[in-house]
Amino acid sequence: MSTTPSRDTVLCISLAGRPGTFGVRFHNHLYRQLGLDFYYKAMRTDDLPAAVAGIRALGIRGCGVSMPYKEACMALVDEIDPSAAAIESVNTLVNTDGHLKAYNTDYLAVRQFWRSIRSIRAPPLPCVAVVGWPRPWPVPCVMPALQKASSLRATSRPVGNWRMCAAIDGWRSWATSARRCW
Amino acid sequence: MLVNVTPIGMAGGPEAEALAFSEQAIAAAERVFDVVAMPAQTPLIRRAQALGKPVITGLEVIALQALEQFVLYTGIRPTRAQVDAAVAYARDI
Repeated sequence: MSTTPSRDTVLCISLAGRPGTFGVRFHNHLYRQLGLDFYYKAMRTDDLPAAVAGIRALGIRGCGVSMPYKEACMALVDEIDPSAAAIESVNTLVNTDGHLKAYNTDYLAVRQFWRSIRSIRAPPLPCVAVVGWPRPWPVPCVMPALQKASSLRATSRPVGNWRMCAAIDGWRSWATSARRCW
Repeated sequence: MLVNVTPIGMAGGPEAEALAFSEQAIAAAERVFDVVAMPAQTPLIRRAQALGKPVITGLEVIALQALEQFVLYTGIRPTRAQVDAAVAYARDI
C-alpha cells in the first residue's frame, strides 16, 4: 500500500508531553506489513480537552496517551475499561463512532507477564520489591504485581527528582505510602 | 522479584550507568523486571542476566502494550513474526 495517507485513511495518533518515535514506527510498520489503510502520528498538545474533542470531531480511531495526560483525560471519555479504572490511569483511547473508551494497555501487558510468571511459580505468592515514584507511566506496569503480591519489600530514598518508595500489600497501599514519602 | 520503575538506567539520563538495586539485592532476587525500555539492556538487566536471573525488559513491556493498542485500533492481532519485525524496526533509530 502507499505510505501517503488518502482521504479514506484511518488516523491514529498519540498525545505526549514529549512525543517519542517507538509507537509511530511500530504501528506504521505493522500497517504496512498488513496492508491496512491506517496512519499513525505522534502529537503533543497544550489543550487536552480540545485535543480529545478533536479526536471525536475528526473521527480519529485511536489515541495513545502518555504523560502528562494519563489521568486528566479520564474525565473526557465516555467509558473507562477496567484496565484503566483499576489504576486510575489511561494510555489508550479508542473511538468507535464518537464513543470514546479508555484503556490501559500497560496494565494489560504487565498482567500478561505477571500471569506467565505465576504459571511458572506456584504459591505462595512471591515477595516483590519495587522502586520508583508512581506518577509516570511505569506505574501501571507494577500494579498487577502489587495487587497479587503477598508482601513487598522496598526502601525509600531520593533519586534525583524521583524517590524509591515502599510498597506494602497491594498497589493502593503502595501508592499511599509512596505519596507519603514524596 | 525486583521491579525498577525509576529512570535509573535510562539512556541519556543522569543515572544511565547506575544500578537500581544493590548487587546484593540482585543476587538474592529470583527474577528482575526493569521498566526502562531505552535501552533494553539496562545496567540492572545486564547484571541480572550475568547472574543467570530470568528478566523482563522494558522493551518487552512497551512492545506488548503497543501490540494491545494495535489490536484495539484495528481488530487484527498480528503474528509473532510480524510483531517482532515491527519491534525491530521501531527500536532501530
